[in-house]
Amino acid sequence: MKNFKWILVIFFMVSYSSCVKTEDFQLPESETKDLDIEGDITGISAVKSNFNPETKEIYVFSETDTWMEAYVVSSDEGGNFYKELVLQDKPENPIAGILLLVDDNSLFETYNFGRKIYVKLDGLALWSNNGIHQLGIQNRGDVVAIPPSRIDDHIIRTMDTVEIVPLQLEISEFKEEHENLFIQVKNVQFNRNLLREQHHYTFAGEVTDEYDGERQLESCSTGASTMLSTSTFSGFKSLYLPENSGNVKGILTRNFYDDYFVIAVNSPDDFSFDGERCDPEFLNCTNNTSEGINVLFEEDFTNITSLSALEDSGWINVNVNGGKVFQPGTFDGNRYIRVSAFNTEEAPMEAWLVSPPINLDDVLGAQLSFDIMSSYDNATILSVLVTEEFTGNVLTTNWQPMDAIIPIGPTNQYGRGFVKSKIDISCLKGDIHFAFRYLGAAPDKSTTYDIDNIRVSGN
Amino acid sequence: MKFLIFLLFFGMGFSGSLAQEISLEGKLVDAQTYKELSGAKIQIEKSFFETISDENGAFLFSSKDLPLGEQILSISLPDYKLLRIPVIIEKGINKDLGLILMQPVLADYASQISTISLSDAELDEDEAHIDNLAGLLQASRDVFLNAAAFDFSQTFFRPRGLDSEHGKVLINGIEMNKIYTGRPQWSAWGGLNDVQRNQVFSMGLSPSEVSFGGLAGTMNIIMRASKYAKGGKASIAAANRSYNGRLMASYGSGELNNGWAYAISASRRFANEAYVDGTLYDANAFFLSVEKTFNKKHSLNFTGFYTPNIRGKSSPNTEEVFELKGRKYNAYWGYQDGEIRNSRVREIKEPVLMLNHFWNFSEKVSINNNFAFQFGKMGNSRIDFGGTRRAEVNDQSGYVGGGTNPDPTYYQKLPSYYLRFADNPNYEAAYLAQQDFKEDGQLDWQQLYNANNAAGYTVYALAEDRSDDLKFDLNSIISAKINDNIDLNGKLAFSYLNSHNFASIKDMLGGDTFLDVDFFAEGDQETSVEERAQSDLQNPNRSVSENEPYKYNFRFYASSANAFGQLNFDYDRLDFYSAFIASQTSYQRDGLFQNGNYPDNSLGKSEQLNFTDFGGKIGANYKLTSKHLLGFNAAWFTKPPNLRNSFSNSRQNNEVVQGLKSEQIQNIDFSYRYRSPNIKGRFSAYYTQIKEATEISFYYADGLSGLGRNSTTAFVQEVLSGIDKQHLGLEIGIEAQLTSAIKVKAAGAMGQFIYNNNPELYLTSDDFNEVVDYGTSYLKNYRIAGGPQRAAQIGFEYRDADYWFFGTTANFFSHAFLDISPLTRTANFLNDSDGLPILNYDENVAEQLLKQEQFNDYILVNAIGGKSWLVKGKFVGFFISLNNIFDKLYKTGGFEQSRNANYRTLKQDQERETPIFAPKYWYGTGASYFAMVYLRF
Repeated sequence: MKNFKWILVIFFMVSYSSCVKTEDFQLPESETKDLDIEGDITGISAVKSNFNPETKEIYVFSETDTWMEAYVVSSDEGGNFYKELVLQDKPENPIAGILLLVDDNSLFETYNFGRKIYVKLDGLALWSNNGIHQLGIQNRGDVVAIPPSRIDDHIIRTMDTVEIVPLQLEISEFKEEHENLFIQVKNVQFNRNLLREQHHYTFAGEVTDEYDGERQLESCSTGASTMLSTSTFSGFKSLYLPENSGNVKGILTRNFYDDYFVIAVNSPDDFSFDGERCDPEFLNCTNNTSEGINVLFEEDFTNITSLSALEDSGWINVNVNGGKVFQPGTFDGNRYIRVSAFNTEEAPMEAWLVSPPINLDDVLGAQLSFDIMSSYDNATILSVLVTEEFTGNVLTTNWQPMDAIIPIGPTNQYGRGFVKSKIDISCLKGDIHFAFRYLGAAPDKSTTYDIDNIRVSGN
Repeated sequence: MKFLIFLLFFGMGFSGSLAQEISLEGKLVDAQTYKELSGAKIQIEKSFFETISDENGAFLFSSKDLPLGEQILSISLPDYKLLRIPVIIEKGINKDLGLILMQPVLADYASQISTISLSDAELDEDEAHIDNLAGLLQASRDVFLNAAAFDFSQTFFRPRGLDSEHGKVLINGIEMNKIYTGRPQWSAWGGLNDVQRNQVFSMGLSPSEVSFGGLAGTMNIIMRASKYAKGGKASIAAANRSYNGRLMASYGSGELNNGWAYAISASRRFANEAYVDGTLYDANAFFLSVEKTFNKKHSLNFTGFYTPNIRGKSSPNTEEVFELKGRKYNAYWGYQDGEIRNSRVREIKEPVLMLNHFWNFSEKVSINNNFAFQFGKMGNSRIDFGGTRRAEVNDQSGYVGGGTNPDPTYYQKLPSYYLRFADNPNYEAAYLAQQDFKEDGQLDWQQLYNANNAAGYTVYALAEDRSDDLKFDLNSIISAKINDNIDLNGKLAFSYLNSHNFASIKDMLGGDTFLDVDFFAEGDQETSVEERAQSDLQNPNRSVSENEPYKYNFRFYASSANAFGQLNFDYDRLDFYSAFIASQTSYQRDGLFQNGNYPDNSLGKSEQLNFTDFGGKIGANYKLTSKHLLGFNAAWFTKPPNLRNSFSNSRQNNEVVQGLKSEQIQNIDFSYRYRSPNIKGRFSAYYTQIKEATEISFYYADGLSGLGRNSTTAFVQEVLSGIDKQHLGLEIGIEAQLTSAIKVKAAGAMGQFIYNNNPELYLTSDDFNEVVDYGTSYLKNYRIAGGPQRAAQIGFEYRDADYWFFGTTANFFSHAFLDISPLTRTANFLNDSDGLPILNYDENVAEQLLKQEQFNDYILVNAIGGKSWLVKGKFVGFFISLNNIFDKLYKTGGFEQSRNANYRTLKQDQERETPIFAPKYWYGTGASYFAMVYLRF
């Protein structure tokens, strides 16, 4: 029994000789450290002024002890920004913004939205790429992201995370100086052609979306339009575009090819779309979708080989500013009529193609149909209108818009096919004229439209 | 049935009583404790007569042919001195030698302890496909197997190239192999070495009394209170291998007057950081056994043990990482508040309780009924960096957030990543990354806390993959002596498993709750991202707390019933056996979550899988003379697939592996044994075929074909089925006792373990809707990875009569191979994303790219030594073992990363100076020691 006691002692010893830490780690104290900045503080405008837009040379900051004060206004939380921080100079009424290239993911965990930071300029390089001022590190002829091991040297966080008040802008007010700022546009909606029942677009989840999905936003107050750009790597790319109208907050930037302005949001939360849509009042007859037996008017452009041939058939083809008009075209033996602001210098370019008069008296169930194809699409800028009282001048005529399907075509290539629209015009009487109106602006609103197989039928 | 008739017929042919018997009997006991010694081999030298002592230590020779006159009886038992007793055998006299005292050899006892400490080093079998058989071999007295257990095991050498799922481990007649993997889980009874010394090992398919057995052997550990000698043991050890310190103590009461007996044992093994950086080790073990002998016929035993075990894992590393950080580097840990914290910790807490009833039905028949119950949890931790929050637009939900992979060796953080474009390398960034990695290169826990803090929700969490098992076993074992020459063994066994598998958060790292959605889910036209991302559609957008199931949640039900019968025939010059087995196994999955990717086949019960298996084996030993023995074993049996290889994606759905079949196993081996008083040796040749095997693996693949340009990367489950493997080779072991103190030994193994056909491969993934069939994977003649296929040893031992000893061995290893990726051996390798062949495909280059890497040969030198003293009737001693004395660097295993799944991506990567997705390796332990002092009383 003596032995047994001894054994018990060993048991005790064994059981309680705990010296391995396996569990129960304490929450680490969050570190509060004093800012340690020696040198001058400068602002973003001053930094940007070092770049010479004429020579476009990379500017390298060296032997300087200057720090740039800035506020983080982008967030990669939603995956819409990748290895970059958008910085602006003030939390409210900002004047300048800049893009800082940082070679790390999940930056939102450290440089969160509204965080005030200081950027050490010594060793950084400035250039303009994709139309945007960028700060990073020079690697031969490029400016690349700050490597992970250098991030802490160049970016110092303050303890302050402040509220960022978005800069209120109308789409028509977008200017270069607003780039890289956190803005808000009010009372906007997505183009209705993105929200069709047969194809309701997502933010960037379409098969045709490469890198970014660009979706047209239109202002309800001015009618001006811009693009919302969403990365195909974003977490919300496959959500459907909201149908209502409202306000959106985001970063104003340029599209990849530096052709036009785009807005990029930090997260879907940046939309507050709770208002009614503000579409124009479309012609709304009954719901007659069947074609009539008699063809009252038909134009497949087979014989329209020149502008004069077009006018001879009774069409009015006019550019209100005297510029480029609709042109006859041919592809693979098929003739059609084409309009495009591409390769013009017209901004705006407003072109009209008005049909000959068609008399609808004594016609029941009249229907208008036509095919449209969209190519090199960078904005939806075609509309189809109708009138019962054409004055001979497109600008003085009282037009009524019609809900035509204007397809969204590929951005960088020829269209994939015509899309047919069928519009009920059975409630119209007398001599009607319908018209295609193109409102482009080179170079960034220059979608090419081909129109064919126009037909009015009735019983 | 035919087989059974055959057995009976076979048995009868040799039965029939023999006249005019002479007999010789005796009983073996421990010289100090008087404990009865079972399993000793007793041989009448220069004759064919030999026998094994029974569980009461008794033995009996009985034959009319016993050699007469002065004979020498030789008695051998591991851990005891060889005993040679002169006896005179006379005609017509039944001689009883009475009690025979065996002297324990303490040095052997010590070395056994050291072996067991080696087998503690289980690698991360789930990840490496490497496992350890050493534990199985330690009970053996075979020269070759001793070499394999003591010296070869540190390189993960596997005798006959067999996975440990082919070795059966039983405790008190109850099979302990895990139903999920088929492998014995050593850690469930680790640290109880003192009370596991009663082991009966059957090598290969040679017969065991309690089980049909497996290809690699069968070990029955007897843990019965009455079988422990009265006395206690205590030891303290220090080491620098898998742990730094060990305390161990045990005590057995011996059989008390009132028929009771008890035994207890406890141990603790620990390390804050073992050989590899950041690998903590914290294992306790408790054991209790109580037995009551009611009368001569009945005794009832209770055995229970509990061995909670926590171990920090170590990462496999690429050559690039090795060059920068060395062999001890481990990417899984980092400091938190100045303390080491490992993110990948394996925790096993699975106590076992068993009741054993022993019933001596008659003189000739004994029946043993067993019941065992095992329950508890097993968890493997990892960091989940996909924490998100919900963001809404007009009633639609998307998920934003998600962190970056915090692994310091993530490929985008290594220098090679910055040099990946040969025409535009970024040397500065590569240099900085290198400096950074060299100086720090560990997991940054503080950053994870900061991130959760800054994000305002849990982005990073320490999660755990749990499997909480409940298993019971019921069996009945019968042993009957049909006549003097024929024994019958039979067993009926049933086991049932209910295994609850789920993931849970172990530590929110400063966050509050975790949003249980799949951050990587993507919506499409039919299903929204919100639906897809759900782990459980029944309970969408759930925020989970710690220890609550998330991500996946299901149960496995498995049951198996089997019947085993065996006849052993034992004649003077010939003994042989034949055995059969029949079993019925069923598996079922029961989904507790309705997964968003698989709404239709994830919730509820899967179809039930049933496997009916049969098998038989026969074997014989024939004594040409008393010195020369020949033997053979032959077996054919089928084996149900393991549970883990039955459901292709069990975490998410009920999908069953297509065309799943039982494995077919054929084995034949021959051996020649030589034994004389001074020299013993064995030479064996074996040929094994395993057919129709299935293996499932999970990984992230890059460069998949036939899925279109946009989906060439995906996290996949790879199902490889219809695998045929062939293992053939030679084994040799010889030892010579030069003087009573000096022994020299040599052992060698030469094997060839290969894939013997081209199995079929298909992938499943939640990234694509249907199974993608890649057809044939051209694996034939590739080597099976896992330890060297050739090994050789020479060594010597010196044992002084004054209780000290010293021994050393030199061990040579070669033909170890890298584990290949089957996906790159399919047509996918040469097909482009559209399914047509890749342009510029060059067969010669492809051959080079797909060549299996053979690791370098190496030599390891080990030494052991010790001494013991007898002080006032107690033994005190020490024991030291040194491994890899010359600190040789060697690879124990490794695997190809399946990220470069086609010719183009693999070639591109291989052409880089430092490939980004190079193979990952495990390295062997350098020079290491184990030192122990012990007391036995």
